[in-house]
Order: sequence, then structure tokens, then C-alpha cells
Amino acid sequence: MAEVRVERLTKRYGSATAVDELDLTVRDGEFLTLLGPSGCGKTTTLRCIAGLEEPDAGTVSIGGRVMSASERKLFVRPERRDIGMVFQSYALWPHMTVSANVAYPLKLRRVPSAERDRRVGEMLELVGLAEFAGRSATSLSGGQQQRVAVARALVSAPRVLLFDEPLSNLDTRLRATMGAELRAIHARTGTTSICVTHDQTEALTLSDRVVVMRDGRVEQAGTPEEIFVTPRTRFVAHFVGFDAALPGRVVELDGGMAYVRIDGTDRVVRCRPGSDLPLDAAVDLMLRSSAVSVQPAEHDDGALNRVPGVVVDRAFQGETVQFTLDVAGHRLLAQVPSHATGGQAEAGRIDEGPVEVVLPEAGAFAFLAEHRAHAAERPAAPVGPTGLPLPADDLGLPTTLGGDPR
Amino acid sequence: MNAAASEARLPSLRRLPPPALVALTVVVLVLFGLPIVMLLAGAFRSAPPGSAGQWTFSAVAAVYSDADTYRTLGNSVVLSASQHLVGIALGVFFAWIVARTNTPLRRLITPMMVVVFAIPNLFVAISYGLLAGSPNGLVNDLAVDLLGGRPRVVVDVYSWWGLIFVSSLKVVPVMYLLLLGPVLALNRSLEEAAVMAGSGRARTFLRIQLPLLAPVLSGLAVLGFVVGLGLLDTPLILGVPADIYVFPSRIYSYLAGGTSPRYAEASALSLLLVALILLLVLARARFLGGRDFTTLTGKSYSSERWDIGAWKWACSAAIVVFAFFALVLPAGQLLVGSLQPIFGVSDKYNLDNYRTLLEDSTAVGAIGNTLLIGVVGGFVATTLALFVAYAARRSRSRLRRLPELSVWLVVAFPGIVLGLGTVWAYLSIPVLRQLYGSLWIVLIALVVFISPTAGRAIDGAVVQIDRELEEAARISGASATRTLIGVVARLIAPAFLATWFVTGVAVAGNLDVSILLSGPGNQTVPVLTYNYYSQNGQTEQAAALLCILMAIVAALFVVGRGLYALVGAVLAHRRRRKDRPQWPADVGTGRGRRAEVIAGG
Repeated sequence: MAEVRVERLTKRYGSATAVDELDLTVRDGEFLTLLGPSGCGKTTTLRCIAGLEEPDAGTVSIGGRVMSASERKLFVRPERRDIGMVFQSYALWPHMTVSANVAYPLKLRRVPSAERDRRVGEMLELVGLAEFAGRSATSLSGGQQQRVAVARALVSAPRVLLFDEPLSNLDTRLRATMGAELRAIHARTGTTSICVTHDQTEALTLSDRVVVMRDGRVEQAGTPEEIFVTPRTRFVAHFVGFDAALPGRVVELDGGMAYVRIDGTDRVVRCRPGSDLPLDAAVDLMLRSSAVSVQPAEHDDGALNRVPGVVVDRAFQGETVQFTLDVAGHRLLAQVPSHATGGQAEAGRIDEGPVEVVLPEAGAFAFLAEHRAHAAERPAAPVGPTGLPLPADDLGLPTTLGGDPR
Repeated sequence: MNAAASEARLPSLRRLPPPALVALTVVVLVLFGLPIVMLLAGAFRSAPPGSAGQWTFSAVAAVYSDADTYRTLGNSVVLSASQHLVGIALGVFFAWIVARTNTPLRRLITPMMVVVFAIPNLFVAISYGLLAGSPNGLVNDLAVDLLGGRPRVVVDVYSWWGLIFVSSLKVVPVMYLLLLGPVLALNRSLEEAAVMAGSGRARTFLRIQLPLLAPVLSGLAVLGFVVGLGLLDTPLILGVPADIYVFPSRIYSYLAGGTSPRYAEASALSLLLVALILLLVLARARFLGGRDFTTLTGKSYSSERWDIGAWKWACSAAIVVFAFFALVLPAGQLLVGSLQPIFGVSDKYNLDNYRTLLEDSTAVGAIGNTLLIGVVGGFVATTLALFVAYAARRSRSRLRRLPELSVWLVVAFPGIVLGLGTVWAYLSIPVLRQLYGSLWIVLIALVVFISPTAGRAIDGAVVQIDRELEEAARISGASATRTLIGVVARLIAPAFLATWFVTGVAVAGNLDVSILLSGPGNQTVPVLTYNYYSQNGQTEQAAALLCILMAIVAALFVVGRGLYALVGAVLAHRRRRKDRPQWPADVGTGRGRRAEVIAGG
């Protein structure tokens, strides 16, 4: 059990800075997730903690012991750090059986063979693979290989456990069960754990605390709920599923709430300021498409948080209906519960033409629009059936996380 | 997606600590760089290696102003180009038979090609010299029987046609083996799309498949042509008697032909050859983007075969004919020849030649030397290639590419040229001179010569080991060395053994490199065979010696395969015995020790 401290960690590859003066503390026994898109430096951070990369600057310490301090030319090799790691590819040695894979860390620690057999047995029991002990490690299915990898990482009772995209190679259903199992194992062992992922669902379900990274720095840190419910920057909001945006201008600030007039309309939306906003600032109103609702236009009375729009497209998606709306020339998505789930009756009736768009108060955040250029170059994340942005992998985009040819 | 992202997975650990890498670099530079540099310098020396002399341009001037040099250049180009034209055409043809047609004998092609590939050039060249070079060989025997008349040379292999024919026989398997992958990987749907669009089979082959293969074929053509320019053995045995000189045989004649060896001239001519090869290699890299087309292997599509009707019998016949000329005929002639006490006298067969050889200490010594060189040389070359490939793939040091580059540079130096460079290096430098005339110098030169081949084979295996497998071992608590032994070595073992065998065979059958280095005290079988054949007229013993060499190689192969299978079976058996779940009842019964054997051993 140990606390992990990372101070002013910097790692460069040529002229590119992967990790930029990063400060991070993982509390003893905590399950922390580094979340971010590919190239945000999360994997590099993890590998610096593991000792698989040598940082260019900064210190890493585990349980009060300094593992690497570039300024003092100090670097503890990975095999001396007493950590366990679950690799993205599982990295099971194909020439060894399941039990030999799990026993290897103990063998290297010169644990007597009787004790070793006992602990390997316990570990395989823990991950539910006792009857596969003698099988070749690579003959197992993906989910089973994952468990072997977890058992191997845990068997030497390391002070810190590292996960590199632990669930990314599993199919959707296995991902959910495996996530729950990892959570349960963590609850039982209480080992300080650090996980790297680009998948927000994975991050939310696994961790006690989530650190969203961007360009080698921490963008926001907090509990999964904080991150998901109250993103503090436009980047985080976008990343955790605020997939709808409308440009506007702050017309009033009052009682911790902001009043934003949507560009091209005279309608005002009452929403939460994502950060300190000056009056008259150009902002982006960020929402989840699932929080936007649509009503027939006849109710329109110019009230707060109601803007006129036109249905451009209506797509029945089973549990929801997705409307693509035009609001004063801006594209806006609305994910409305369908009549199939006993949702709004309107969704069944509304087909096309003018509608009234109802924007939520609590789930809408205004962020300074200075990122607008940034936003423009980044196309809106495609939306999956659940209303959450799809991970980049599913788009077939190159990422550091998925199918790296190595 | 920024640069940092893609690089986050790039070289991570300092796997080879710098001292080891430095040592490797020094060893490689001495082994590979020294002969090259000394050869370069040698062209401008007025005296043979090891003697005092001056710097002079006279040799270079003499060689480059000699009309014979340019005739040699012409001959080399014609020979290499023609043999590769034939080789590639037949290579594509056989690969296509295997990949696409229902020809009955197609499954025999790959084993046959591997065997033909493994037989040394020397074997085939000498065999054809016997077959069709003398009135007493099988071919001319038969021809005279058919035509009647006195025994005479009806078919003469000591000619342009003979030279091209025999050289081509050895090029076909190389091209076939390199082309089989790409041909199998050709996307079947492209072909089907063409057929759906109304194109006939033949048209599809010409308009779709050949263009798809074009980059591979052109890459192979250049590569093969370059290699062909440097081959000594066949042109020496079949070309020189007909007064057909190519670069390597002319270099050799500078050294062995006259009253005293003309080292500077030989070196000057070598430089021209090396320059030509480098030029072609660079041109190829430039025009083809430096991609290595020969590794275009991919998933083979288990597609339906094309029923080629009656043509399948024609294709089968082609397979049989090729096997006859490349395998049956040469092997048969050597076997028959080795059993005839007097070559060509066909009424008496016995083992006298073998008996004579085995009583002759020179021959027995040569067999021992060759075995040693094959086994040790193959092992050293493979090990060196492994370290070089590993350093290039895993180290982050700036030095890491240097060993690999040095090894690859050797590709531009044909065997005879490398031998010459080795003579310069090891005679000119006082400390190294001790090695001259010993078996070690032959061994060293052959290791250098075969290393690029070993490198190519081993590099593919190193690439396939996922870096995370090693990182997992490090995280588990294994040191870099321990990881190398416990994980990397184990995973690479099959490729290592295969490469060891292939390079060992190649080294044992090599004449080009050892011909300049091997003397009375350190003779190898190929050199002794060549001497028997060409200089002493002991053709029967040359044949017997080659038969012994091939028998040893075959025996080693069988024994090696057997041992490998045995070890595999033992490991599998132990694993199976451990298969039953044994916790917690079996604790302390010593089974852990067995696990250790499996895991570590």
C-alpha cells in the first residue's frame, strides 16, 4: 500500500512534449483513472510511474520512496519498484502455462515453491481461473487472458497496481462484468491503483477519482460524479459527453447563474457558468443532447430556456428519438426518450417543421468561447445510441490506445 | 493525434546497457568495417598485403583502362540478367501453380524448392560439369548412344548456354520462395472483381495480377541481379574453361591465374563491382521508396482453385522436368560418379573413392573443418544477428543503428570481394596476421559474409515479439538480462534454430569466400572439392566429397529435427502432467520445482 506522488513530471519525444510539468498525487488505496483522448500524455505518465520510460524532468515517488528524480539522476529500474501492471495486450508469455505466468513474479522474488504454489492458487481462485492453471496462457479467451494478467499483476502483493487500457480489448458485455470485477478486487485488496483509459464509462465505473488530461497537463480532477456532472472546462465537457453546443453572449449574471442570449435569436437561456464569466462575453453553451427536449411550436411564448428551432432530421433509435435541429442557423442534437419507453408523447407526434426547443437549466454550462477556433477544428463527436460520444477507436481513427501496430 | 501520442509507445527501456551496445558496435565495426576499408586502401597499394609498398594509382589505372574489364562488365550483366529473367519467370510460374491451380503435383513444389535451394551452387555446377562437360558424363553418354559414333562432347555445358542454364536452376528456388508469399497474399477479390467485370482468366492474370505483383517483381529483379553479379562458383567452374569471365572469376584470375597474385588489380576491379552494386541498391531504394517488397507476405486466402483443365498435366510435367534437371540429374551424376573408380567407366562400381578420401588426412581434415565452420559459424552469425537486430529494435541509444547498417553494407560485397578484403585486413595488421592461414580467418570471413542473411531471418522474429511481453517481465521483477534469457530467448528459439541451420549449411557449402582464405592447413570441403575437380583432375573424388558433404548436412538436419521434436515433446509432457489443478492439496510436494523448469528452462 502506498501513496504515489508525481511532481513536475515532464517527458519529451523529440520536440513534442508528451507530459508537461504534471503534478499528481494518488492517495493510499485509491483507484485513480487518467482519462483523456489519445496523445494527452496519460499513457506516458503511467509508463513513467512504472519505470518503463525515463522522465526528462520531475520526480516520481511511491510510498515515500523516490523512484525517479531526473534532477538528481536518480532512476529506479522497473523491476525494483514493486509494482504490478496489467498491459493493454495482456502480455502473457506464450511459452508458459497460466500458473507459470502468474508464478513468475514470485519466482523472481525467490518465494519458496510451496508458498508460491499456494499464492498462485489463491490468485487464480480470486479471478476464477483455478481450473485453467495448466493451460497454455495464450489458448484462453480474451476475458480469461485479462484475468490471468490481473492475477499476475496482483500475485506479488505490489504496492501499486497499474492498468493500461484494461478493458479496451474486450467486447462490450465483457467490459461491464470485468469492470465490476476489477472494482471488487480493488475493494478486497485495497491496492493503490492507477488506470489509463480514453473511455469515460470505464473511468467512471472503475475509479474513486478521475483526472482528465489534455496536452500533458491536468485539465480537471475530481470524483466521477463531479467530472460527469460539473465539467469545469469546455474540453472536459466535450469529452464527458456534452455533445450539443450553441453559441451565445452573456447578458446577465445573477445568483451564480448566467443568462446567455443565443446568437441569432432574442431568446435567453439561464444556465450555469462553467467558469468566471464577464458580462457580454461570447460563450458556448454546452449541453448533453439527452437533456434537450423538443415541443410542438404552439407552446412558444418566449419564456426562458426556450428557443425556436426547425427539425432537420428525425431518427427513431428505439429507446430514443434523435432530432437534428436547426436553431438560428446552428446545428443542435436532441435525444428525446421515445414513446417506446413511455417517454414524452410529443416525440411520437413531432415529425418535421418548426418546434420549440427546451434547454435544461442545470445541465447547461456556458464556457468562454475563446476555444471556438479549437472547437471548429475538432468535429463534434459522433453520438452513440446512448447519447455518449463514441470512443475514438470506434471511428477507426488512429489512436495510441487501440490498434497500435507494434 | 500529435507526435507525442504516436511516440509514446516507441522505444522505452534501455534494454541493452550502453557498455554492451558499445562493445557490440566495436565488434561489428571491426568485423565488418575493417575488410571494407582495407580493400578500398588495397586498390591503391603497390605491394601485396603485409608487404611494404607505396600508394599508387597504377593498378586502378591499369584495370580501368583495360578493355577486358569492360568485356567482363558486359558478360556479368548478360549472365546475371539472363539467369534472373529465367529465374523470376519460372518462380512466378511455380508460385502461381501452388497458389491458384489444381495441378496434381503442386504440393511437391515447395519441398523440392527448399532442397534445391539448400544444395550448394558448387554441387550443381560440378555435377553439370561432369554431366555435360566431358565425353564420359551421363548426358553425353546418352547422346552418343542415341546418335552413334565415337564418345565425344555433344552437349557442352562449358558455354554461355550451359552457364546460363545451370545458374538459372539455382535462381528459380530463391525467386520462388520469395514470391510465394506475395502471390498467396494477392487479394482474391480484386481478381474476382475483374472476372465479374467480364475479363477472362488469362486477361485477368496479365492485366490484374501481374501489375499487382509488379513492385515485388521489380524489387526482386534488382536484388537478384545485384546478387548474381557477385557469384563466383558457377562461373568459375563452367565459365572459365570456355573463356567466359565475369567480375568474380576475373578477380579470382588476377589472384590465382598468373605467376604472382596481383592484389591491387583485383582490389581495383572489386571496387568497380562494389560501386555498381551500391549504385543499383541505392537506385532501387530511391525508385521503390526503400520498401522491402520481398516481405509482402500476408494472409493466404483459402480460395477456390482455378481448374485449368488439361493444362494441369502440362504444369505437372513442368514440375517433373524441373525436379529432374535441378535435383535428380545432378545428384544422380554425382552419386554415380563417386562410385566409379575411373570416371565414366561404367562397368565397375565400388566405394574406392570414399575409402581413399577417408584415408586421406587432407580430406578428413577438410570435412572436420567444414563441420566446425558450419556449426560454429552458423551459430555465431545467428547470435550476432540476434544482438544486432535486438539492439536496433529495442535500444534508444544513437548508436543502435550503426551495427545494423554495417551488417547491411556487407550485402554490397560479394563473397570473393569480401575474401579479398579479409586477406588485406588480416595480413596488413600485425596482430591479426597471426590468424592468417588458420581456420579462424575462414570462420570470421564466413560469419561476416552470412550475417546479412542471418539478420534478415532473425529480424523478422524479433519484430514479432511484442514489447509488452518484455515490459511485463520487467514489471514482474526481472532484470534486463533475465528478461532476455527467460522471455526473449525462449520465444525466439525456433527462429534461432532454423536460422542457425540455414546459415550453417550456406557457410559449409561456400566456395566464394573461402577460396582465397583456405590453404593447405585450413581447407574446407568446397575448396578441396574445387581443387580436386579443376586442378588435379580427381573428378571422382570431388564427386565423393560432395556426396559426403550432402550426407552430413542431411544427417544433421534429421538429427536436429529429431532433437527439437523430442525436446518439444518432453516439455509438452511435463506441462500435461502439471495440468491437473493441485491447490491447495499438493502444496509442498515439489511440483513447484517442475514449474520452474518449464518456466525458466
